[in-house]
Amino acid sequence: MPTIKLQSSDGEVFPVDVEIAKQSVTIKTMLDDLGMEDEEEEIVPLPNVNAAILKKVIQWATYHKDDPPAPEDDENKEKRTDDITSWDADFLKVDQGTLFELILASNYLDIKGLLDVTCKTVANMIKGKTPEEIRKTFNIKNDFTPSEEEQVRKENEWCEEK
Amino acid sequence: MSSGGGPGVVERASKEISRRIHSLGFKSSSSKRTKSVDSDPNSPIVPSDSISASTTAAVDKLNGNEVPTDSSPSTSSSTGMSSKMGTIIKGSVMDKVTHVFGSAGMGNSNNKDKQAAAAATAAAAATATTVAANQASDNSTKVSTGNTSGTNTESKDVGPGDGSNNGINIPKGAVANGRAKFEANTQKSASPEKPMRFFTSRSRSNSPMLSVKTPKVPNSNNAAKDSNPTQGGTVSGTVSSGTPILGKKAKSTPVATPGSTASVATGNTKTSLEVTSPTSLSSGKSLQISPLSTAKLFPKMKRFVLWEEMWMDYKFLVKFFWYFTYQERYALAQVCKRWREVLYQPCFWSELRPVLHTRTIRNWTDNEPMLREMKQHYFNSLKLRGFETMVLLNANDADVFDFIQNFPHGAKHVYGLILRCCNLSDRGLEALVEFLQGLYQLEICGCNEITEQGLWSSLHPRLISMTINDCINVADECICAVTQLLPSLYEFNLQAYHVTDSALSYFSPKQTGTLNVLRLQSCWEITNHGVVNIVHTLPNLTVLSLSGCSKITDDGIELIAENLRKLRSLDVSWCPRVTDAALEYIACDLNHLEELTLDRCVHITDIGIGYISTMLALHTLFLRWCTQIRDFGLQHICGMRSMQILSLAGCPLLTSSGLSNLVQLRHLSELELTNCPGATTELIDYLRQNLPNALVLD
Repeated sequence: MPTIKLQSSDGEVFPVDVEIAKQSVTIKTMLDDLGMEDEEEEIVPLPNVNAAILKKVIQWATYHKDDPPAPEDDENKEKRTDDITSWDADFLKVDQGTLFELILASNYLDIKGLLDVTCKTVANMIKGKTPEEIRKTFNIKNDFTPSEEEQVRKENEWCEEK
Repeated sequence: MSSGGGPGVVERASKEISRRIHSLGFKSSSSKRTKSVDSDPNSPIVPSDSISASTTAAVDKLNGNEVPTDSSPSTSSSTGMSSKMGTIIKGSVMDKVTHVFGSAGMGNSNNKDKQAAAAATAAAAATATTVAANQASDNSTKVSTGNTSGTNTESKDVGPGDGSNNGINIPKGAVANGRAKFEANTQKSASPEKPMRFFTSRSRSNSPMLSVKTPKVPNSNNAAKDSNPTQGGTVSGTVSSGTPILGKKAKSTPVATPGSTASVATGNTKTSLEVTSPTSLSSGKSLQISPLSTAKLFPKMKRFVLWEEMWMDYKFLVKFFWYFTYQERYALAQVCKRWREVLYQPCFWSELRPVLHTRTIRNWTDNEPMLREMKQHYFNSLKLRGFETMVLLNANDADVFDFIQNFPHGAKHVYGLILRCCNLSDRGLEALVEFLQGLYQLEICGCNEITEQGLWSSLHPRLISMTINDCINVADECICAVTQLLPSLYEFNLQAYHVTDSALSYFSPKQTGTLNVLRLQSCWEITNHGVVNIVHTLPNLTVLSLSGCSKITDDGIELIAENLRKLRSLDVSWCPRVTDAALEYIACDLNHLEELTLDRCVHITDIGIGYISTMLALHTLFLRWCTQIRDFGLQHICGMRSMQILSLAGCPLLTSSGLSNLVQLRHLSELELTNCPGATTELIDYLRQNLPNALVLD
């Protein structure tokens, strides 16, 4: 099986099966464009992904290499977050920083499945938290004045299911 | 489990309502939603108007309602067109590209001097393509065809270097075909520059969450991102930066096509071919790519997004917020202004309606600037979130006039109104209905000031759905007003204790064709004589509820079963005079019945359940507090394999072993067993384990 070499931002090179690497639409597009199926050794640098994260990404992609393509889901629809497989759940038992970096990397590399499952994990993490706790988690500044905050609260509370 | 009855029929009914609304010419809510989203410049992630509109249409179709909206037919047809166009183009491109490459190989060896010209061409062409493609995707194929073919002819005369009017439009697939011939003619030579276009973003249906910034694309307009045909345009845009277009081993075909392109879109291949081929030759050189240069250019392919940006990125947030339920989104909207801004768009609020606490709003007086501002913000938030139905709680006349004054947006955009426990006079009601020009659904609950005279003066013929609950000054006369004034009435719900049989004779042939849903709840006075009036004037009813009309007997049910053959949902809960005999009539005659509610019909026994179990269409059955049902009757139910929603709440005689047979109902989605002594913890666990798709309430 042909392989491709992925180079992390800190210079480490990971040989990966092309088929596995192609779960990244970013890489797949590049390979398709360049027509790299010949034997030549290509090194694809990923200057924004460090070795630790890249390793995780490759690990995930290797495990999921035989997954059927994800069904086209409706963009504007509530999605479940309680359907994370146990392997993924274990895989994502990492510190918050790593989790966030995985989101960034999977977004950059355009790996839909990984982005999906990492987002679900983060969503589960902040479910049930207060706005203040969420701000802390994401390091977001509160730019509401107290009265605005109260207002937003009312706007949201004064609703009922149809 | 809702007490009134599950989804299914009722959902269909409301679908029907919205269908009628569409046909009345109101704007469909979904198309409106997407439109407003589209208008946000930051929102490329949201599906284009036409797509969602056609989806809506498709969904409606699935539900049996082909919606004759203004928007969907045209939009969906344009979608169809554009997809058709895609295939056409592809075909012609294939031929064409092959041709181009062939001629390129044959003719020209001295292309170097033409390279610069080619680059210029490409630049201009890119712009042209984008425009053409936009037109194509927005309007119709004809536009783009016409335009491009026109320019082709011109460029023929002008000559290779000047073909600046040509659009570039090479779908990916075309490349492969051309490749073989092209390859044969390419020489390997070293190029210092990398093929930048490989690193530009590609248009994919499956685009990543974050927008990708492509350095030199002329206009990064949304249309270009979404439609395949524009790919070539984007690509050449980068080319225009002056980089020679070279592909590794010439496999990078789009390169070769800059000049040749416009004709591709038109299918007008022959003429343009000769003209363009010289230009395309300039790119005919293929160069080896060194890993180093790949390194240099890869980042341009896709911009890496930093953490801080990610959490403020519109596209990402929209997608991320869909991982939350609406209750959970409440907290998210309070995190920061950006998140609120992203969340305050109609799609996130479609399942909800606002309840205007008028007693609080009343205190946001106009005299104090800060409070006035609060009020404005509030009404603006209603507008932003695109609510079409709203509840006025505890409103008096002054509140209503305040609402009218502060929320002019509502005049055209509020379709449903619920007045709940309002101290509203007839005058207030009249003003409100007059103000809400789009109103088709009106519900009045617990408004004791409103009189029948008020209904006479305020009901407007455009109303399709009317509900009157618990208004003490309303009785027989209100049925008269409703039937006389509302020719399009589709759904009528009335809960009034003192409505009599004679009032039901107000239903006239006018309603025969339109009225589908009738709920007369807790109309204690109604007898079988009243039922006679209903069944003869309203044979098309699909949903009927006589819940709490306790004087109805088996004879009344027989009348219903014999005459209302289209019924899909029947509710005779709290009608204690209904017995097994009634169930026999129902089972024999109502072949389309999907939902049956028999709560508190205490005389029903296992025999009656036996009759019901023969009903093939039935998928929702409520038997709460039918206290005589035993395991034997339950056995019958367990044979109804299409059962989806079942309630046996409060049935005291059912045992655990009897209930355990419910696992045979593989299609159950909801099962209610509250207040069943037989529903032990072990049993509930067993059921949950064996019915993983069902919500088991204990």
